[in-house]
Amino acid sequence: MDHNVKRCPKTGRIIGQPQPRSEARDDTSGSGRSGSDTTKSGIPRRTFIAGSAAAVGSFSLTACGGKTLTGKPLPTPTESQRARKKQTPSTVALVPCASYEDDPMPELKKYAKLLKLPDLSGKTVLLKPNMVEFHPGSPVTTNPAALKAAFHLFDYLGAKDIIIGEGPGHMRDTEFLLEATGLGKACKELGVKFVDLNLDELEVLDLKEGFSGLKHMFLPRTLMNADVVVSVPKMKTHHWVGMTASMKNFFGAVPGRKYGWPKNLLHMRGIPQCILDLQELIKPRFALVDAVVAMEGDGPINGKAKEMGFFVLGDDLAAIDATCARTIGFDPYELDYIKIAGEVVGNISTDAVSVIGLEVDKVKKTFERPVTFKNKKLLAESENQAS
Amino acid sequence: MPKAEKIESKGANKSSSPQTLEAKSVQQALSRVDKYIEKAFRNGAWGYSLGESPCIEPTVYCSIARRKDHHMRKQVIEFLCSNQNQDGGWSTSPGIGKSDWTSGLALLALRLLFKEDGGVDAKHAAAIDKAVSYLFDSRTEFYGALAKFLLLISKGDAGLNYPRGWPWSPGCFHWVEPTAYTLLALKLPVHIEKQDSKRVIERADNFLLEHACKDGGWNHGNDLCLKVFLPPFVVTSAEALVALADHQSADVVQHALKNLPNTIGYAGSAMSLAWVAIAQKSHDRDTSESIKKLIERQHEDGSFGPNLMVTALSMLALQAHLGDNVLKV
Repeated sequence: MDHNVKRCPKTGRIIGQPQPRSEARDDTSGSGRSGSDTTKSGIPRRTFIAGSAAAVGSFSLTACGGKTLTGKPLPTPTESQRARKKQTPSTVALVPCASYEDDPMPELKKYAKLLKLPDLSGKTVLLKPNMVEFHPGSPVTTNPAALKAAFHLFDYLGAKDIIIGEGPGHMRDTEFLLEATGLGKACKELGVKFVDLNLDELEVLDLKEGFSGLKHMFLPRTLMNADVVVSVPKMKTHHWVGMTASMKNFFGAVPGRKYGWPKNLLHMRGIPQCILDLQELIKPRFALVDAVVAMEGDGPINGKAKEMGFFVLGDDLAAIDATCARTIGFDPYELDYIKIAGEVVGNISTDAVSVIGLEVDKVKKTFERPVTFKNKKLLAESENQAS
Repeated sequence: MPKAEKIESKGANKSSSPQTLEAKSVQQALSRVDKYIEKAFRNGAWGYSLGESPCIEPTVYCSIARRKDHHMRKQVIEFLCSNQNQDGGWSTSPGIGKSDWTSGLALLALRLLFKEDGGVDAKHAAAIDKAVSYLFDSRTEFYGALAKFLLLISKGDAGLNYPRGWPWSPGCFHWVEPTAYTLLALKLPVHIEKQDSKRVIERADNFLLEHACKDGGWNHGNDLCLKVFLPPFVVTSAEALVALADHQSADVVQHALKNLPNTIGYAGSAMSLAWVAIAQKSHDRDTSESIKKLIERQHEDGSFGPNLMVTALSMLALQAHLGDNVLKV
């Protein structure tokens, strides 16, 4: 028996089976894409051929991606894509937690009951924090206290096994990130296994009707084998897509061993499109967003800390992200991926999302927006910048 | 005496004494890690962790670290050659999609392993040749045919001579790390001899040289994004320094070397310490401090953590400290 052949319990697909080299599947559909660059003289190389940019098919390429880099308009979901959307109203809890020093468990348990979160007895739960990069003193990553809170909450809900899994999006030095962010220490204290999703065994998943144009994606086996996947992100502004919270967090589930650091292919295929495709493939069940201290301004890396004092908990990630957006003074409909998620993932309109716990209007703080929102030209100019 | 030479000779003087003092403990660490990697070898390859399926990257670093083992060498060469894709590249693991960034590393391993055998044999020469062609063809392309024509007629040959490196995924932007890996593959053990190879290497060198951060060192790609100057990271900086060891006198290189201790992640992991030590050695700097800290991170089982690639890289750093820096360009 080939020990390498294993079936994914969630999808039923055979995983880990090597394919003949001659039939190796393409990562992408269509042809390769062109890049862009600048010279040290500061002259964009394509400036001199400005008029023919479209003709030569050059595209913007940046580390943190870009708007729709392919130049395509945002997709209009098909009927079958719309059919995936959650059909019932959603409830999101804004759970008070003034400080990471506080014990959030009494409140989290209370709201878990009010949300009627299910018994997870016998289930393997994977918690996915955000550990994208490290900047000393800056709230780039999920706080260890938030990760511990997520662990205790899902332990309380009866999970048989809890795994922490993350594939840092920018830096490949996971050992350093675990130490520097304190998330490694948290894992040790909890006695929980950490899986580097960047290096995990891979499963290939078909994308039959996705938004990105990718035919399939490779995703970590541990993630796909988990019965329940929980997003445990940090709420931050994001210079390319406005805001990052529960859905965008899954860029860190994409394996660097295949796609690199940063995971540039996802950015080239369009951040909104890939966020939506990852939702469809991973099917996360819950999210607990760390908004005790969030990030405003030039997020997701270079922004500033902003105290908010709550967690966001629920089982509809579109509703959670829409609610997060409202608490920081954004209209979720102006954020492309949330707008489309409202058509294919879950609810985003206030009519369909009930908020319990803290009131949005009372906790709302108008965040300083990313520089790209103040100066839209930057997005277009950024095609000559990459990191 | 040029500035760069002065610095080099200083470093060489500094490093001689501590090396002798620490040689025994370094040898012991080396022996333990060697045994660990040897035990982890299965079916001609290594996975990222013990017991996991074969992957190109850990196989490359482990096999280079254990390159003196003739029996292992033969098996790894067969593994790499038999899992080469038709286009000449490699995928992260056999059968896992299109050829990707691990292709440069696979070529690096083959070239260094064949060197131990006294050169590539006729049977495997085609594999090397295909790999080099793949790497030349898979550089990040910026312009279509029309734009290239316009560049040619407006600027002549110089118009097409723009810096270009390698992407992580086919068709994506070029980044510091895959470019550094591929440069090593083309430069080691000696510069590859093929038509255009000089120009390909020169352009990739220039990509690295032109994209250094203003503080010294490298971020992942550009030094500037959305009008924000980006900070250098230790791993990317050290990798670029290793690939650019034949540009020691360049200001960018000297600046990066000087700033290495200030980069994010410095001395924060076995991976960073190993890369830093190899970079320091490649530029004739003292490695004692890095190696001392690295050895402190060695586990009881001889490994440097669960990631076999990091463990093998650490072994290469220990070897470099003892004067056998196989990644020295």
